[in-house]
Amino acid sequence: MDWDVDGVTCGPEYFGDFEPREVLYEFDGPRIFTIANGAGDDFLVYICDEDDEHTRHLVVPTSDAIVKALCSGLITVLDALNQPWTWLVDRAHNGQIERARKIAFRQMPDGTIPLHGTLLWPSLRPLLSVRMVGASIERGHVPASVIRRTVDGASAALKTLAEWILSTKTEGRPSDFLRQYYDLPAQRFAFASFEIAFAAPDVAQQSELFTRENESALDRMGEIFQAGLSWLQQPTADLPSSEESRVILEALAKLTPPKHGVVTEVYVGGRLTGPRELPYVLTRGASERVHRALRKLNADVRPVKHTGLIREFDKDKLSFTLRDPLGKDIARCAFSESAYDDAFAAFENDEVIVVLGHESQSRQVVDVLSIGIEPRPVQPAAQETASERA
Amino acid sequence: MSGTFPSGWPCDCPPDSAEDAAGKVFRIVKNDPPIAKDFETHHEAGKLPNAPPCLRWGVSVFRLVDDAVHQRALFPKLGNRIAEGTLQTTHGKAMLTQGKRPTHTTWWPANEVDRCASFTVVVVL
Repeated sequence: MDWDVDGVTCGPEYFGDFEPREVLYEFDGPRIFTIANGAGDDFLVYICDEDDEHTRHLVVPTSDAIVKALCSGLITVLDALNQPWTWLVDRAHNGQIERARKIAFRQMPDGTIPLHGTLLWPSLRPLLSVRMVGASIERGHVPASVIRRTVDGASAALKTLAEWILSTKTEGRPSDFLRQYYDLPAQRFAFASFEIAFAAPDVAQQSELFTRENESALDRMGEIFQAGLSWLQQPTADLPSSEESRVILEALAKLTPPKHGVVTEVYVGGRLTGPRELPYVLTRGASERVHRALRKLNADVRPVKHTGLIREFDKDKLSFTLRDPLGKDIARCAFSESAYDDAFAAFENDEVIVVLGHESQSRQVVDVLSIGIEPRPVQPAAQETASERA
Repeated sequence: MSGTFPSGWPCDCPPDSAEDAAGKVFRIVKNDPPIAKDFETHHEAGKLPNAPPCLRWGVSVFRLVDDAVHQRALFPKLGNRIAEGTLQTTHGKAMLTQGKRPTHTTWWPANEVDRCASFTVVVVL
């Protein structure tokens, strides 16, 4: 082996017979497994290297709780291995321990331990992981704004992708059908930097048909997301001028780091980013590029102010139709989850509301920024008071 | 026909449940193009003498490239290349031995098969 780590030599008997009690990862033999010694101490064993004569094992103390967390994807393999006590054990291929020494985990060279964020099995890979990086973000010092940005950014990006992919398939669905694609269970948190990994929607209680549809929708979400991430890696590439490109850019805009503040880079990984060993790194330069492209595509978008009544409310697509008192359509409006209660109350109570938002001429939809109650009576659209441009 | 297997193999190896090898498989290798050492069985390498005898004559492969990419992230020292091969009946027998990894497959290469000749490096990590 072309590397070694100095440590305090210890006797091989400490590790018992080194026979695997539970094999957690097997490929050409057990590669991650647990062992126990005669004193009843449990150890997690990771094969970090091998050559023609020896296999080198990283051995750390473990517990049932750690193994359970590892097997359910709550912690990474690196988390499970990074323990206060660490041994490096070289065994001959006949199983004989030839050398064992106590070391510090931080002595392990790069390339001999799992990459950051790697879970035990591919099936545990989160749907999306978002990690905020900045000089002042560290364990114990994660500003609430960073946590909020991570959660809101990921949810908003997923919602943008899910709405586009499922836009023609939500009729007749329960009101929380779309939500399950962006209001995802948090699978894992990490606090050196700040990271949240989101698991795929829980389909355990769903029918087989739904499960197949769900997988297909997630695959298609991944395809367009990967197209955007791939575009960001090619500085001179252009996205086609299309509605799908707009969706991709809006999703990316939710995840790229802001121009100011403590977050300088965002690492995006998980199944939605495709079969990759390392996450994509979104920098402030990427943020600028995304917003520039978005401005170009959104040239037909302008701020508007509309006044009217919500006469048609779509719980599935989070949208409503604003009409004047005579029933004439004013605008089709799309709103966010946070505006749901206000919009639904106005719909139920027949309240006259004022909608501020951005209207796309090509899509003919107003993206609602805020909803307020209009105290004065509304005149018919024919008298040109029901709708006015801001 | 899946060819013949070395005479020194344990009886019932490959197991009856193994099928004729077929389809795309992936494996991490250290060399490009892959060499015979990239496809050594444990028996050939003299490793794990106490492991189940029949498995020691098999070569582990994945059915999905994603699983190989994950494995490389888990064990960077295994190599930084992923080779793809297309197995045919003449290559021997294969069986899904997945455990928690749905595409993990053990391939028992037939006697006369040049294992590395069927593989090409498709991903460099």
